[in-house]
Amino acid sequence: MVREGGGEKSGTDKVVGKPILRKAKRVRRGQIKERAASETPTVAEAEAKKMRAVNPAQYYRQNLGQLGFGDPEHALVQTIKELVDNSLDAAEAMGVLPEIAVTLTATEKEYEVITNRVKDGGIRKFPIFKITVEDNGCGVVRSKVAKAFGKVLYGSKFFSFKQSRGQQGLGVHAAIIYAQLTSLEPAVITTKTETDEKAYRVVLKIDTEQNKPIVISAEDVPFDRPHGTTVELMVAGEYTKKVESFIKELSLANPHAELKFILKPTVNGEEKVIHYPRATETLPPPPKEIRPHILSMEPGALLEMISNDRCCKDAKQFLVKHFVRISELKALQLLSAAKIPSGVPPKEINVEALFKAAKEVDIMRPPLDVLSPIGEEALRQSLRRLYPDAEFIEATSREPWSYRGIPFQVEVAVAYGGASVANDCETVRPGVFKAKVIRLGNKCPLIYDSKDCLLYKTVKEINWRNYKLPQEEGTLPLAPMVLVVSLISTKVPYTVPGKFAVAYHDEIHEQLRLALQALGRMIHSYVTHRQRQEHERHRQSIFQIYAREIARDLCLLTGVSQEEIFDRLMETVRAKAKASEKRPSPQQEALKLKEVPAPSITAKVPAKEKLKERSQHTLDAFIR
Amino acid sequence: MVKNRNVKERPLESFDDAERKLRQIFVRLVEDLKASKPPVLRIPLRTASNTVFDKKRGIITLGERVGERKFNDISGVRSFMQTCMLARAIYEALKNNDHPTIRDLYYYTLHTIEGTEIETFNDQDESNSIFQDIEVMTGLLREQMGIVAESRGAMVGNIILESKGNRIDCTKFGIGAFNIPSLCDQIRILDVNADYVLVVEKDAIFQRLNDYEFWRKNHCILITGKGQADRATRRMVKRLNEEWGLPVYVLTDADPFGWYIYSTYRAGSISLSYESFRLACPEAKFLGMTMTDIEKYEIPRDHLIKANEIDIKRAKELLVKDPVTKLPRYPWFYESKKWRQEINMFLERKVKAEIEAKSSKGFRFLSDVYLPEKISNKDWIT
Repeated sequence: MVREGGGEKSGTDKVVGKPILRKAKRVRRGQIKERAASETPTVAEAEAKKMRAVNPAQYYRQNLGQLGFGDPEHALVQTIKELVDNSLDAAEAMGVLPEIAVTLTATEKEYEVITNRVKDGGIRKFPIFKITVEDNGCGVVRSKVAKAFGKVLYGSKFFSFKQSRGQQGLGVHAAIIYAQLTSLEPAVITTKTETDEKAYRVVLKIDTEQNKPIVISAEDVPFDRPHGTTVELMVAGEYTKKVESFIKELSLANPHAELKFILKPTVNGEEKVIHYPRATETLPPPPKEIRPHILSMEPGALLEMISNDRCCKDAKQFLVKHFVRISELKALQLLSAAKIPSGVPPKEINVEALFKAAKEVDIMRPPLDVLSPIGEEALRQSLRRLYPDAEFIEATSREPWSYRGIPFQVEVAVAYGGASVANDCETVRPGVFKAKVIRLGNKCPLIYDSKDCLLYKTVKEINWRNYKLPQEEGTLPLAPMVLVVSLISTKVPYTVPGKFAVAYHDEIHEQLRLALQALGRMIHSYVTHRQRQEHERHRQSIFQIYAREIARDLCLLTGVSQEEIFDRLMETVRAKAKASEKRPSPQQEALKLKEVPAPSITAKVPAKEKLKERSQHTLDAFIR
Repeated sequence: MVKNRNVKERPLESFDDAERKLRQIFVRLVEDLKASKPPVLRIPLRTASNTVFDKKRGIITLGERVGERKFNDISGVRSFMQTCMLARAIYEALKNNDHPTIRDLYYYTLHTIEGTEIETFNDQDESNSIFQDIEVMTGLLREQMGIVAESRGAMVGNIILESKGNRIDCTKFGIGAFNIPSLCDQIRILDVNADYVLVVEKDAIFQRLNDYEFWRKNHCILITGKGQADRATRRMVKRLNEEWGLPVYVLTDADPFGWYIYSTYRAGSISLSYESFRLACPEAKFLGMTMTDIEKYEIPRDHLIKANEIDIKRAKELLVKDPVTKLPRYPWFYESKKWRQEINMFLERKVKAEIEAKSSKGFRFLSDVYLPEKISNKDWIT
């Protein structure tokens, strides 16, 4: 110790001295042969020594920020979000109306973060929260529980090309890793499937070094529901208003779900119970699973598919089997355009040539009836549930469309006016409110990074002044209203896997714009209607003021009673207002004509029968 | 002595008539209301475009166009209310035999409407305009409704009046004169002993002529309106001309403003066109001072005043034709050769002169030389 301390004073000596010391040791042991090789290791060799395969769990641990667990504030919301996402998906998979209870309780434990942002000591303390999410979903089969929750990238969603909330099914794992990193506590999963006698309770951690579950205990326990899952996590978090607004938006996006939240943000604080009874008993139509569209593939992913393929004997069969909208004929066309012989085994497909050909050959857009939108009526009911005193609630949606071979659909809704709406909006000046935008990606609220999000940016782009809403250039309209912008897709293009912001795509942008404009026209006609009403009220009040004076004068002049004259006078005013109401205002007429034309079609639209079938389908859902 | 050529014992106007007439209009209005008809007040338009020259009578009168004032029209409701309110006030005054001024009426009706910050009238001009509307709507003149206005006319001469049972001899004012009251028709003219009426624009000239007892020496009645004449003065001139057949001569400065004053005596004004029939006196003659007088009586050049732009503009206006109807605005000027000559002479020389300029010839030149000479030579313009 002393010598080392002395060495620190003359650091350079020490660096030179140490290897010499080691060399002498080796010589003494008689390992002379190795001497030459170990003497001068190259940089590349040193690097090579460090190299080893990184498993996904490790990667997760290192990149929690990308997954939405960057800091305690984000992490708290993200944990709830990932767990509730899974719960909703699980309930919908079974075709039952979701019933979800979320409990968030602050514990006495704390998580300390060393930071240089805080002056006093550089240590920030965050409370550890216990988060419990209970659902009535399908549950997880006993044999799979440990793996499903304890092995990263293990799950059903990654391989499916179908609309779901959790996209790759990796969010829960990130939450569990975050939990064990911050609280050192394992996850507790209790689950029961329909056929199980008893529920199965597993306490586990994830071994991130080896990407496998460490099961601490597993036992049978009684359960209070016929089926479902309860997940319990201990995470460090920072409780902000975002938690409650997330909850609110979550209930908005899922009007068919019964949601109950029990929040206790501080150890000694009050418990807050928020309960959202379901707004509609109608289950949204289940999304359908489709094979991917060739245009939606990344070249690397395609290459992987080709190399993993074990069953297809030739290129043609490979294309027909794995991709949507490729018939035998189309496969042949595609291969000939790519100058690939149709008989070659899949492994010999030239991916680049195939992609080039796919862009040239006209391939039908993917089937669009595979999505499960929230639904206009459900959105309206949902908004009404949240904002019972809103003056005006309306929703509209576009027909499904596709970007890069991926189907998507845009829905927008608005709640305008009323105290509860204004309460949710930012107050610019007394009496002036800035509109609030609620962004939903596959029925999931997106609450962070709004500035990078296509949904948010498109709202700001719209010239709301066209619809009689005050707006400063390129900002949100200044009106007490909540705008809901929902994007449904088999693959919502998030900028990062953390699901914060939607990336830019021309097709999505265009559909969003059209939907928002349609909504704008609805708002416009309401605002005009309201202005007219207000104007009429104002008009009536003016007449009333003068009528009272006139009645007094005419009474003195003629002897007829004041009341009678007053009533008669007001009668003539009402009669006139009625007469002018019958004529539709010229503005309204113009509005009808201004209807925006359908978007230009670059790929083929689905056949008419398909569309009919679809509308039938939604109608059925309604009747149910 | 001139005899009363029309009605010797002209009955004084009764206010009962006015009361009944005024009430009748509003009774009809309420009847309309009871029949669920929207109430409308029909008011002849008092605009310049609705003012026409009645050739036969030689006076300005109101045209036939009528405006509708509706209650259930947001732009009309306020003035509708004001009309009713003012009419009610007049009605009350008539009933109580009060003779308020229009300013009294304004204050009588002015109040903030209950529960609002709206005042019934913004200012007296608004009230005055509504008052004139009531005059044209009912066909009742202010005087007939017993509404008093400011009056400043004065009269002196051999004329005997009766008011409230008192005889007034207008020769007995000394250096003073009889102030013509606003309700001039409430005065009975008992006797007149004069050859003509001399209307003097300026009060100062009037006082000087009165001081010299010009009226006694020249056997006339002297009247002044003190500038632009008020209604009562014009009414008195008209009555003397109409009831007693006296010729009327008008003496003003030699400038467009003077001509305009003469024009008002002669044919009426646009703003009071509805009243011309009882105010205008088409027989009134312009005695002077004329442009030709300036040369004829050799007024020194340095006693002349250079005409300003307003004078010139006004002079030109007297000869202008209406762009729409293509008729001359002031036909009595336009169609008179002598007048055209006068005005053109003014426009050429661009000078004007005051009556007092004649004093360069001596203080008594006006009363002793100029006026008697002009009248005996019939040197006037009609």
